Order: sequence, then C-alpha cells, then structure tokens
Amino acid sequence: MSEELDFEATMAELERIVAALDREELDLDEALRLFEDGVSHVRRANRLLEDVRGRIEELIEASSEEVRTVELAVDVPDEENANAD
Amino acid sequence: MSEVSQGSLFGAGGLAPGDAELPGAIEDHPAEVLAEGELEPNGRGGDVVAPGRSAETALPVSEVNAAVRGVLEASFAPLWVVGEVTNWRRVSSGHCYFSLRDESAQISCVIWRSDADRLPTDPEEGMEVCAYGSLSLYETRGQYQLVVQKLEAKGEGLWRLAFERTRRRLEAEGLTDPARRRRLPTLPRRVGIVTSKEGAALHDVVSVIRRRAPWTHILLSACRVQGEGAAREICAALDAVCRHPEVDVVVLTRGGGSVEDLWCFNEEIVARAVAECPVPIVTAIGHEVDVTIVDLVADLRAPTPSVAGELIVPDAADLRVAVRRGSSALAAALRSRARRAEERASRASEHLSDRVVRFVERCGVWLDGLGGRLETLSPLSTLERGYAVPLDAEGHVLRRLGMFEPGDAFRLRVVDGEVAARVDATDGIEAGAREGRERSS
Repeated sequence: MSEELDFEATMAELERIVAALDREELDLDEALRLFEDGVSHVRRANRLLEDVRGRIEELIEASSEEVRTVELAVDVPDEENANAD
Repeated sequence: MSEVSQGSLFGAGGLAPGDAELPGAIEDHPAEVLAEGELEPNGRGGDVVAPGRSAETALPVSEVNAAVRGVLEASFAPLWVVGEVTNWRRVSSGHCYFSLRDESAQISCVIWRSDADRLPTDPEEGMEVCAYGSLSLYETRGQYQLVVQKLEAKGEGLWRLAFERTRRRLEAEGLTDPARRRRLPTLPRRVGIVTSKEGAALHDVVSVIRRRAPWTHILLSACRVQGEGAAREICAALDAVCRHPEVDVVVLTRGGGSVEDLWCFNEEIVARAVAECPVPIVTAIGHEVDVTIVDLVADLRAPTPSVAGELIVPDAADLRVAVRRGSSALAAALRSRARRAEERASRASEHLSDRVVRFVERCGVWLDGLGGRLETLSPLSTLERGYAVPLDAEGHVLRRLGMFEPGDAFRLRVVDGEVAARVDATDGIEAGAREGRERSS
C-alpha cells in the first residue's frame, strides 16, 4: 500500500475488510490477517487526520505550459481543534 | 456686455430658469454674433440696429441655433429629470437615443456610448426612469435635448431587468438546469479560491477550511471583484485556477456590497465561465439575500463565504467519529467471526476448540495493541455466557483431568472476577456435573 493512499481510500479499504470479516468462509488465520490489516488502516486514517497540514498558496501564473504558485500568508487562527474528540 | 447681448438677441428676462447661470458662458456666443456684425450696440453707435432686429441684419439659422445652444448649456447646471422612457434605440455607433415623457410633454434624450456602455441593460418602453444630464441643443435640427450621463430606473429596476434578461438567455440554453449541477468531492485535496486578495471573503473561507480540515491545500487565484474590467479578470482567474491539475473544487466568492459592487457576478461572460468550469464550483457572493446570475449556474450556491468553506470540506471531528465507528465495526466483525468459529468448534471436536481458544487469545493481543481505540475483545464474551476457566497459580489454563489433583488450590475465572477453588475429587467424563459443588474454603 502506498503512502499516498488518501483518507477516503483508507476508509473504503477498512469497510471492505470489515465486510470480508463478516463473511463465514474465511478461515481463522485469514481472518486474523485481515484484522491486522484493518488495524493498520485505522491507524493510517487517524494519522491522515492529525499529521498533515495543507499549504496555502497564491497562483501567480498559469500559462498552458506551467503553473506557478507562491506561499501566501493568510492570518487565520491555527489549529484550535487538534483534539476535538 | 452680457446685458447688451441679452437685450439685443433674446430680450431682457427671457431666460428665467437659468438667470443665475447667465454670467460666464453667455458672453461667448452672442458676443461673437455681435462681433461678426461689427455692431456697436447699446446705442454707442446710435444709428446701428442690433442683429436680427431688421431684415437687413437677419441672422443665419445656424448662428441662431449656435447662440441658443450656448444659452441653454450655460443656463442650466446638470440636472435630474424623471419620466417614462419611449422610443429607445441603440444605434450601431453605440450611442442611445430616446425620449422622456410624462402625461403632457416630452424631451429628446441622448446617451453617448461611453455612458451607455455603463448601463446594466437597455430600459424597456414605458419604464419610469430618472436621467441625469445637461441640456443642450442639436443644432442640425434645432431640437433641444438632454445629454444623459446617468440613467436609473425606480428602485433597482434596470439592474433587475438586466438580471432577468441574462437569466432568460442562460435558461434558454439549459445552463441553469439543476440537472447540470455536479456533486462536490467529499474530501477535496486542494481547493481553488477565486476572489480578491484583500477581501474579507478570502479570510473567511480560509479560516473555515483551516479549522475544519487543516490538511486541505488552498490555492488563491486573485482578481478584482468589482468595478470596470472585474468581470474579465474573474474569468481569467477562474480559467487559471482550473489549470492546476490538483484543484478538486473551486469557490468563487466575494463579501457583501451594493448592487453595483456585485454587478460583475451578474455579467454573462462570468456566468458562462462558471458554467464551463471543469471542476465543481461553489459560489458565495455577498450576503444571504444577494442572489446573482453566477449562483444560478454554479454547482452549489453558498449564502456566505464562511458557509462555502463549510460546504466544501468536512469537519475533522466528524471524520474521527467515522474512523472510530470503522474500528468498532472491525472489532465487532472479528468478535462475531470468533464466536462463529467457537460455536462450530464446540459442536465438532475438542481439538478444534483449542484452536478457538488460541484464536480468541490472539484476537485479544491484537486488540490490546490498538491502544484502547478498539473495544477490547477477549474470552470475556465466552465467560459472559456462563463458561468459567480454571487457572493454576501461574495463570495456566487447566484443561485436562490430569492437571487437577484432589486438594489442589486453583482459581476459577468467571466473567466478573475470580473464585478461589480447591479440587474435591476428580471424575471421568461427566465431571461437568460436579463443578457446581466445588467450593472455596
């Protein structure tokens, strides 16, 4: 699984795992392996919500060949909800 | 000098409305007329006759019109006139001609192109308007006219009319059809914002996105959002932001303002640029009551810039709830899987039920590893249903008859605790029936 996997894909994968676990046919080892996978997806999803910080940029040029941007400072209250649980 | 010309050409006191304005410009035109005739009025020459006073001194038509024009223009300061529009026509040069009338009179009016281009739209026949301009005379036809610089309908009539006309055109092309509206991405990676760099709208949208979904990238494509040329800038900014390959959704926004301030968002070229936006686009123009043309063609209209931010990105708190729910579902799925295996095993063989115990124990280890995020899964669910597990002093499970010696102390793990127990006696296959009688001392 790539690090690029985004939140939605992670959650979709988690759902798929839960659905698979609900199926009778899986043998126990397979079930545990899936569970292990599911746990790592839960961890990844939480990490995606907590770690990453988006960039704020201004577009300064968008010709047909290239798109150029610069960092933009917008004065906003930062991170007031890190632990909104 | 002015008294002289007045007297000679038009008669004293003949310019009642403009008396106060007379000095100044009035001296030019009639004075020229007099100069050309080389007359010395006011009796200084004694025997000369003022121009126009006799057939011999008759004035050419053009000179009379030029003189009247001068008087008219000099006599009236620019003024507002109210009346109904009639015979409106916009000629190929871009100038507009029409008349203003009331029940008993009318005035010819003209709006030169530079002023006509600033009108939101042409007025309708019979529309009541206020026109601001200067009185003048069209010399070729000897017709006096109001040269209009500003034209306003009652209320916001002209703006509303322009709005309706544009709306009808877009509607006829199907661009306002709700079926055209695309769904917004549930979790955009990068949001493009088209607005002014200085405006409060930018600040509002960015704050809300930062608060709710701080991982979201934001890309501003700045443009002016009011005034002449703003419409074209908005189109260019929209086009530019959509060139960025990772922009998933665009918000076109501006804070509150007057009808004129917001007008560029009612212009057809902007509406068409919005309709053609390759990614879903949200508009948030002005306040809740302000509906603009671009709102009608956008995928979603937000009442304010802040609400636009809320509509574009989810709240991290909600996503955390979703993750928790997912992890609970995962635990529940594993638990029910374990229970099914257990049930099947107890029906089948003891060999298999050993596997189940190991399986359930492994489940417990995994779940402990989640650091409390998942509900703990352990043999507790089994114990809950009335099973008990005998354990020796080291915590090993006593599984076989041979592991019990009469007189040995052991612990019996039940769902809510442990019971200290001692082996009374052991027996063969129906040993289960005696368990109830084993008591602690």
